Amino acid sequence: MKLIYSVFFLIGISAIAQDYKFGQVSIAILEELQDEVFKEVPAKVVYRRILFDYGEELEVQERVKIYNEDGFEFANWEIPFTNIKYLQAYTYNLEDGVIKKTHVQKSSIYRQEVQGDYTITKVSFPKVKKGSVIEIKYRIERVSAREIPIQYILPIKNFRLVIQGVRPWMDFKQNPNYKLDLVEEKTDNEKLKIFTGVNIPSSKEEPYLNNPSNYQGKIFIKNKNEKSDDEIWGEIAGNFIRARYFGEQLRVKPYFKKDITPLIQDKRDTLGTAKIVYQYLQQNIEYNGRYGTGTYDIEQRYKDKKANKGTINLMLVSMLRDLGYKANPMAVACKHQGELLFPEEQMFNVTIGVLQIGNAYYLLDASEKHLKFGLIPLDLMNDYGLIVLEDGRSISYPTRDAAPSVSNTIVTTKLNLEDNSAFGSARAQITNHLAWQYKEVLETVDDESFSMKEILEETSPLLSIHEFKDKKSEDSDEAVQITYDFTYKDAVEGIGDNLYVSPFLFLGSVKNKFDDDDRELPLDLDNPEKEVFNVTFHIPEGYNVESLPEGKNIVLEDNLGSLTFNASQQGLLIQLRLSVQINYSYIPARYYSALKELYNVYTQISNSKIVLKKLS
Amino acid sequence: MIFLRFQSKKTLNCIQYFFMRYFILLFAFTTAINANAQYAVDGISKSLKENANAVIRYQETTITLEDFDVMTTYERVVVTVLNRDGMFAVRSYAAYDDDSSIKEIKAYVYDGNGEQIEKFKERDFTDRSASSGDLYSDNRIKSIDYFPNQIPFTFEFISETKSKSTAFLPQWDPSPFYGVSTQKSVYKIINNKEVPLLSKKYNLEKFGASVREKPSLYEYEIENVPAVEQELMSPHYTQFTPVVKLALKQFRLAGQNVSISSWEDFGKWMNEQLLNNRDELPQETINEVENLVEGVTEPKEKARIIYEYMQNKTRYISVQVGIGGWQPSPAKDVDKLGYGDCKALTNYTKALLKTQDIDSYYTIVIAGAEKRDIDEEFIAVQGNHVILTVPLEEENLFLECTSQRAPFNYLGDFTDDRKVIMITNDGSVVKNTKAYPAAGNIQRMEAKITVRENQSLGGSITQTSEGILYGDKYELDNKESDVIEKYYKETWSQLNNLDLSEINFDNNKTDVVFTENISFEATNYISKAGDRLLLAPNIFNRLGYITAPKKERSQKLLINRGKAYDDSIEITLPEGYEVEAMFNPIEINTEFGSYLAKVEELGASKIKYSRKFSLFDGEYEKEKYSDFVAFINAITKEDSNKIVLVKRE
Repeated sequence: MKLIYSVFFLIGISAIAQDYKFGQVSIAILEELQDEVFKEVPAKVVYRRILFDYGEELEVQERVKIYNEDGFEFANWEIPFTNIKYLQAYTYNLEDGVIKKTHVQKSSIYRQEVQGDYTITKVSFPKVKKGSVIEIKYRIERVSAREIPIQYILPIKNFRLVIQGVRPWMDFKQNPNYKLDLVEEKTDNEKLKIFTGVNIPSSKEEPYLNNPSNYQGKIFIKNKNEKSDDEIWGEIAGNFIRARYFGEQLRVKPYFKKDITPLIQDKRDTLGTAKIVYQYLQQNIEYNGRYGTGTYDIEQRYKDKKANKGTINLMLVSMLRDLGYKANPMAVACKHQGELLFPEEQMFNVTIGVLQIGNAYYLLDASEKHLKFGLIPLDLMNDYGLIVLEDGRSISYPTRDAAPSVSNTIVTTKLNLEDNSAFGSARAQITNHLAWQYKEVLETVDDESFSMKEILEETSPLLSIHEFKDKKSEDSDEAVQITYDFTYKDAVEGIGDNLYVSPFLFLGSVKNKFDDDDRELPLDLDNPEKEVFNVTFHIPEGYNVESLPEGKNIVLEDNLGSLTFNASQQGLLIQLRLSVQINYSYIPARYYSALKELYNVYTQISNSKIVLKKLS
Repeated sequence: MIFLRFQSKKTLNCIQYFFMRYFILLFAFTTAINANAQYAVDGISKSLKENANAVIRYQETTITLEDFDVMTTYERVVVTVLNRDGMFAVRSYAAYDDDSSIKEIKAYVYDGNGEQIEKFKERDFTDRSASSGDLYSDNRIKSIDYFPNQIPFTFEFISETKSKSTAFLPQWDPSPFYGVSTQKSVYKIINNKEVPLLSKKYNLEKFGASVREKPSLYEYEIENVPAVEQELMSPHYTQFTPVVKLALKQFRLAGQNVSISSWEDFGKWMNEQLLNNRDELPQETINEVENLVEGVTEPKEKARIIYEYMQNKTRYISVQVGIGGWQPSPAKDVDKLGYGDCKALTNYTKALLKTQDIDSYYTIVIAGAEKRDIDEEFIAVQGNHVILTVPLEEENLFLECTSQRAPFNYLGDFTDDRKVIMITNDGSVVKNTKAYPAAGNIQRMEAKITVRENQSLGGSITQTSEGILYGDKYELDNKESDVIEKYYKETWSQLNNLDLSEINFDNNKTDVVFTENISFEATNYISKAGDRLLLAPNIFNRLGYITAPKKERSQKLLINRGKAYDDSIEITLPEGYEVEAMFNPIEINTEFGSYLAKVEELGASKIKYSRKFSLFDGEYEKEKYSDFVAFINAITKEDSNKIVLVKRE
C-alpha cells in the first residue's frame, strides 16, 4: 500500500516537472489565444520557479506567454543583478504546426554598467510575435534578501519558490496586508522551505493609495522570535532609550536654558507655554531637509542652529521636559518606508515629539516652520508610532488621527441679468494641514506665479477674480484668510421664462472624485477634511423663487463622515449651506461604497439648480 | 523612436530633471571662499526677471577644432534659480560616450547674495548610464543632483569634453527654455585649420545678437534675452528665438571621414558608408516574400503585403549604439532577431521591397505632432526618426516601420505633412510627406440614448474616425478593458459613474476607419431644478474652455490640422416628461471653423440633437488669437446648453 502511494506520488511529480522542463514547450501553449482565468492580459507568466540557496545563489526559471503586441514589452528583459553567472533563454514559435525554438544568443544580451560596479543585464528575445512563448533561466551568485516579492505586473499561473539553506533564525511570513493563496509544502528537511501558488493575480494599483508596496504580495524573511510583538516593541523602545544618538541626547544637560527662560517669563496657561517653546524651535532652528531619528551631538546641532527633523524634535522633548511637561519622543516611519507590518527597529526613520497634558496627546514636529501645533506632516501620518518613555517603557500610538483641515467659503452674490453673469465677494478660511501646505507652497514659489486666485481661475475658466488678498500669518497656529471679489460669466441660464443657477456657482464639484466601481485596498486621503460653503444670493428684481434644491442630511456609519445641505429663502435672499466632512484620512476599503455615495449626493447637489421665475 | 544623439536641450533637461527626482545626493559642505558678488540676485535687471523662473546669467560654449576630426568643447553655464519652477534650468551634467571623454567637470553654488556656498569637484559627480528606456546604449553622463536649501541660488557649471566625432556641433541656443531669460550668452568656434563650416542663423537681428564669422573663428554673442512664456498652439520655439545651427562640411564620425557640401553628397555618404551592404537577406526569407506576392502585379499591393509581413515578423526596440546612432543594423540581423530600432526596421523593409524590385527611399524626419521641417538650407545631419518612402508613379507611399499596428501607408500626426530627407539611389532630396487634408479627418457619431427621471441615462453609440483622427483611436483596439474604461471616463468626463456594458471595435485598416460600438450607463447626468429636469442633449463630445490670454499674444496661432465632427443623438425622454423649453439652432461661422447645433422634437417623448463642428487648419496672425479663444469658448458654452423637461399634465 505504501509502495503504491509513493509511486503515484512520483508520477505526479514528474508530470508537473515535465510541463515546466526548461527548453520544452507544448503546442497547446503556443496555440493558446487567451488565458482561461486572466482573459484580457497581453501576456502571462506560465510558470516561475525560484530556487534560492540563501546567501549563495538565486536561480530563476520562467516562461512567459505573449498574446498580443502590448505584450511585446515583456520580451525585453532587465535583470537587475550584477553577479550573473549563467543565463539561457529561448523564444518558441509555432510555424506550420511545428515548434520553432530560437536560442537567445550573445548578440541579444547586453550588459550595461549603470553606475560604479552595478551592472544590469538586458535581454531582447528574438523573433517575438503574437503568440510566442519565451523562456529564461539565470543564476545569480551571492544573493541574500529579506523579502521576496511574488506579485508581478503580469499574472503568474504557476509559482514555486524553493528556499535552501534556511537558517534556524529565519521566520517566513507573508505580507499581512495582502495575503496570496500560497501553499507551503511539507518537507522533512529543516533547511528547506517550499511555497507554491497558482493563478497569482498581477499587482493592483488604485488611486488614493499611500504606498503600493504595502499591498504587494510578498514573503518576508524575518528573525524568529519567541516573544510577543508587545515584548519586542518594548525591547526596541529600550534600545532607543540606551542609544547614544537618541536616549542619551535627551539626558544631555540643558543647553538651551538661556534662550528659553526669557521667553516664558510671564507665565501663561500650560498649552500656551508649550506652544512658545514649539514656535521658538520652528523659527530658530533650521531644518536641513533630512529625516533621521537623532544625532550624536545635539548640543552642537543646537549651536549650529541647523539639524535634521528627528534632532529638532529631540530638542523639543528636552525643552518641554525641562519645563516639567510630560513629553516624550516618538519613533515614526514615513509613508515611503511602508507600514509597520512587523516590530522592527530599522523601520523607523524619523522622530517626532509627543506632549501629554491630562489625557490628551499632542503629536509635534517643530522642524516644519508653518505647521500648526499638534499636527505632523502628512508623510509621517503612517500607521503607528512608538512613544518611548523615559523609563524605557513604550506606547504604540496612531499617527493618522488629526483634526480635519477645514476650508470654509462664504459667498455673497448678485446676478447680472444683462449678461447672465454672477458677481459678488467671497471670504475663505483654510486651517490645519491645508493652511500649512498653502503657506509652504507660497514660500517656495514666486508670489506672483502662484496663488489661490490662479488655481480658482484655472479650474473655472469663466471666473475672473479681483481684489484678491490672502493673509498668511507667520504664526504657524493661524489659519489662512482669503478674500476676493469675482465675476462669474454665464452663471445664469435663461431657458424659456425661467432662470437656472447652480447653487454654489464655481464652487462644489459636478464630478464624483471616487470614480471606480469598487475598491480592494484602503484609501489614504492625506488628511481628514471638512468643506463648507455658505452662499447667499440676492434674488433679482422682478423674479421669484420657483424652486430650490432639496435639503439633505447624511451621516455615515462609524463616524466616517457626514454631509448636510440646506437651502432656504429669507425675504429677498436665498441662503444655501453645504458641509461635507470626512473624519479620517485612512479609510478601509469596506467603506468605499458609502464614501462614494456621499460624494454622489455632493455631485447631485452641485449639479442641481435654483429656479427663478419672472413675476408676471 | 527618437534616436538622435544630441537631442535638443529641452529634451536633455527632461533627463536631468528625471535624475533630480530619483537620486539623492550627499554633498560635501565646504567653507565659503572667493566671495563673488557678481552672481547676486540683485544684479538681475527687472526686464530679465519678468516671467522668469530662472535666469541664465552667463552661458559660454567654446569649441576648439584641432582639425576636422578632433574637437574640444568647453562649456560654462551660470544659472540663477528664482523659484522652484526654475530648477530644471540648472545645467549640472556632461554627456560622453565611446567616442568622447570628459576632461574637466566642476560646479559651484552661490547664495542669493552671490556668496559661494558649495563647490563640487569631479569626484563629487556621479557617473552613470544615460540610457532611459533604450535597450542598448553606450551614452553616459556625469552629473550632480543638487537639492538647494534655499531659493534663490546660483549654480555655475563648467565642463570640457574632447570628442573624436565631429559630426555634431552643438547649436547655439541662447534662449533654450520657456520661462527662463538670458543675461549673456557667448558661442565660439576656434578653427585654426579653417575646416569648412556651414552656419545657419535664425532670428538673430531681432534680438540684436552680434555675429563674427571668419574661416578661423566663428563668434556669436547676445545679451538680455527676455523670458518667453509658452503659448497654446504656437510655433516651435526654434522658429522665433535666436538659434545658430552649425556643422562641419568635413567631419569624422566613428572613424569615418566624411565630406558634405550638397544634399547629393549627403545621400552618397549615407548610401556608401551607412547603408551600403546592409540589405542582404537569407534566401529563405526571399522565397517567403516571393510566395506571398505571387500572382500580384500591382506594386502598391505588393508593398502592402511586404509591409504587413514585416509588421508580423518584427517588433520595435530602442538602440543607441553603432556609428553615432546613425547606422542601421543589417537587414539579415533584423531577419534573424525579429527586432530593431527605426533605422534597422526601415532598412529591413527596404531590403524586403528590393527583392521584388520595388525601389524605396530611406527617409529621415523630425518626428512629432508639431510638424517640424527638415531645414533644407542646412545641409547636415538632422532629424530624429526614420521612415520609408516608396515612390510609385502615381504617388509616394510612406511606411512607418516601427509600429506593428499602423495601417499600410498611414503616417498619422507623428510624421505627416513636413519636409524630410529622402535618401535616393544617387543622392538625397528634401521633400514633403503626405498631408491629411481637413476633408478626410472626420469623426461621426450616431447615438440612441434614454434618460430617466432618476437622473441616470444609458444607451448605445456608434462612432467612426477617419484620417488623422483614426490615429487617436486605433490603439484602443486590443487594450484591456480597464484601460478602455479609463479612456472613456477621461474622454467623457462629464458623465458620472460611467459603466460600459458593451464595447466593440472595428478596426478597418484597409479603408483606415475605426469604429466604436459602445453601450453604456451613467448616473447623475440630469440636473434637478425643483420639479423640472434640466438636460444637456450634447452628452458626449464637448470642447473645453481656453483661458483668455492675460498678456498680449506674442506668437502666431497655428492650427496644424483641420478636423470635422458630426454628432447625431436621439434621446428618449423620461417617462411622463415633455419638453418645456429648448434652445434655438445655434450657428457660428468664423475663419477658424464652423459650428452648428440644434434640437428637434421627434414626437412627444423623443428629441434629436445634432452637432457639426469643423476646425480649419491654418496659420493666423497673433492679433487673431483672441478671436480664436472667443470662438472656442462660445462653442464650449453652447456645448453644454440645456433643455427643460416638465412632467406632463
